[in-house]
Formats: sequence, structure tokens, C-alpha cells
Amino acid sequence: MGNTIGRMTGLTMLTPIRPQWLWLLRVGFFGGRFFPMAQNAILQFDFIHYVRWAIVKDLPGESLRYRYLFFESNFDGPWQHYIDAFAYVVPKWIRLTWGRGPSFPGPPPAEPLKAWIAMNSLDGGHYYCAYPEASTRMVKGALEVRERFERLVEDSARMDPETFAAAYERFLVDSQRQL
Amino acid sequence: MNRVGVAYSLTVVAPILAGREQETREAIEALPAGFLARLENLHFSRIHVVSELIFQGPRQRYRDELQASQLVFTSTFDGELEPYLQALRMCADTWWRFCVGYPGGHAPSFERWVRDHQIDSSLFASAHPDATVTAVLESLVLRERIIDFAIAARELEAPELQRRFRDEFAR
Repeated sequence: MGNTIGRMTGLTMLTPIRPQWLWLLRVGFFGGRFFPMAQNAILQFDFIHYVRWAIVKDLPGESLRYRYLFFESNFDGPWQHYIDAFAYVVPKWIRLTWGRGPSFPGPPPAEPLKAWIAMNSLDGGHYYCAYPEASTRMVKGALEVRERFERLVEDSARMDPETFAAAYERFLVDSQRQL
Repeated sequence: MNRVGVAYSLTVVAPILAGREQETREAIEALPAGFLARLENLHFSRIHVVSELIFQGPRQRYRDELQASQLVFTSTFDGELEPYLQALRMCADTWWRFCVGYPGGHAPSFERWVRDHQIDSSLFASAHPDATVTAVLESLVLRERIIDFAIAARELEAPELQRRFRDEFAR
């Protein structure tokens, strides 16, 4: 199973950070908590459920020359599609983050970046998702529809049939993108 | 920053006992697909073995070699860490029993050991940060019911539409 289940893929990488750029990543990640530009840049594509970055300072029993950037993303679809979108739409964010490591092929184009990810992607193991067949868009849509629908159910008790039919029709029109 | 909305990102990295790497890989890869479904608030999880730090080529000045393979366990769940770790006790031996110093799921020091090997996220983001697993699953089921109802109710007159709608959803 490794890193796929249903339509989900987990991409995990552990890549070295050049010591002179460690401060920049620290500042960038710290700023990213309060200024949502970086998060929005990544999440705008609507295929990522969750994504995390961590700076690995050390590992028990190991003596490492570099600090490492741990990255894990859970998304729907194969990662090759995901990289095309990133390489051409948000190349600056990609270069800012992984360009702090040696030999990073800054996008665009996407192909060298794909080769770099293929080299660094950690394979194997066990992968789990509670809703493996639901795309990010489906999940977000279902959550939005639910909220709107609960209001309609509640209001339906107080409406006459004609008013209800109009409200129901409006709900379907408003929700068609999520359904 | 391990939390965003109701979601928590847990990352645990622990060295594998010498000579047990292959056994660890086999145990992890033999886990049934739904093994972790018993953790009701778990959205995603990955368990895998890292046996080398990938050398990036001639522009990387030094080469780091791992003394021991590392077991990487990640979870994205909703709720607090402590109750999640309590729930994790019942199944964690399956993968962590191969790790150095692991006290066992029933040991009082289990939680301490996990926290000692935890790596905090520097940044964690989600497309649906406020959704619990229960909310996601219920919403997906409701979405299907709404679609089915919409198809079945296409030709109904207003009074019948309202009656069937309330029969289907207002209970």
C-alpha cells in the first residue's frame, strides 16, 4: 500500500537544509502561522487535505551535519499533477522553501522538480485515510452543503408547500457546485 | 505549530533496534487497510521506515549517514493529543515494538516515550481545518442522500415534494 489508498496519496520527503538558510525557513514558517499567504498559496489548488513542514534538529542516537526539512502532504490524485500546478502557479513559494537545500532544481519547468521529488519521496510503509475515496473538493463541498441543508430542513417545517419548493430549488441551484 | 482548527499533526521519529529493520518493514506492510480505523478521530496516518538520508549530489558538502533506520509515524487527527495517545496505546505495539527503548502500549511511560520522540510541525495547514472525522463522514453520506433525493424528486409537485422531503430528512 505504501503511500496510496483509494484516491489519496501521501508524499513525504526529508531533505537537508543548507545551514546558512536555516534562519530564513524558521522566519518563513513562523510568519506563515500568522500571515496566511503561504498557506493560501498551497491550499488554493483544492486537492490537499493536510500538509505539514517540520525542521528536524536532530534524531536520537544520530550525529547529523545538517538540519532536515520534513514535509508530508496528503492529497487526492497522483503527485505528478500536483507538482505541475505548483511549478507553474506558485514557483516562488516552492523555491523559497526547498531552495534552501542543496541541488534544488527551482521550477519552472516542472520536469526537473518531478525528478527531484521522485528521488526524495519516501516510499513504502502503511498509509491510512478515514475517507479514502473523497477528494478535497468533495469534503469541503459536503461540509458546506450540510450547513446550508440543515437550515433548509429546519425552515421546511414553517413553510407552505410553494415557498418550500422555491427554497428547495434555490438550495439546489446554490449547491450544484458542491454536489 | 501542531494544531490548526480542530486538527493536530503528530510526527514521531524513533530509531529501530539493530537488526530488526526488515522485520519492521514486513510488520508495517502487512497491516490490513482498515487497521487504524479503530482510532475514530484519525483522518490520515502514515507509518514507514527511513533507512537513509538521501544525498542530494555534489552540491551537498557533507553526507549524513544514519546509524540506525528510523521509524516515522505521522497522524492527523481531531481533538487533543492526550486522549489520542491513550487510544493509540491499544495498537501502537504493532509498529513501535521494534524501536529502541519503547516501553510498550500498557506501560505508564508510553506517553512520555512518544512525546520524547515527537517532532513539532513548523507549519501545518488544512483545507478543512475545523472538520472532525465524524463531521466529514456524516457530510459525505448526507451529500449522497441529497443527490439521490434530488434525482427521485425531480417531477414532484410542491405539496408532495415537501412531504417526502420532511419524511426523508426531518427526523
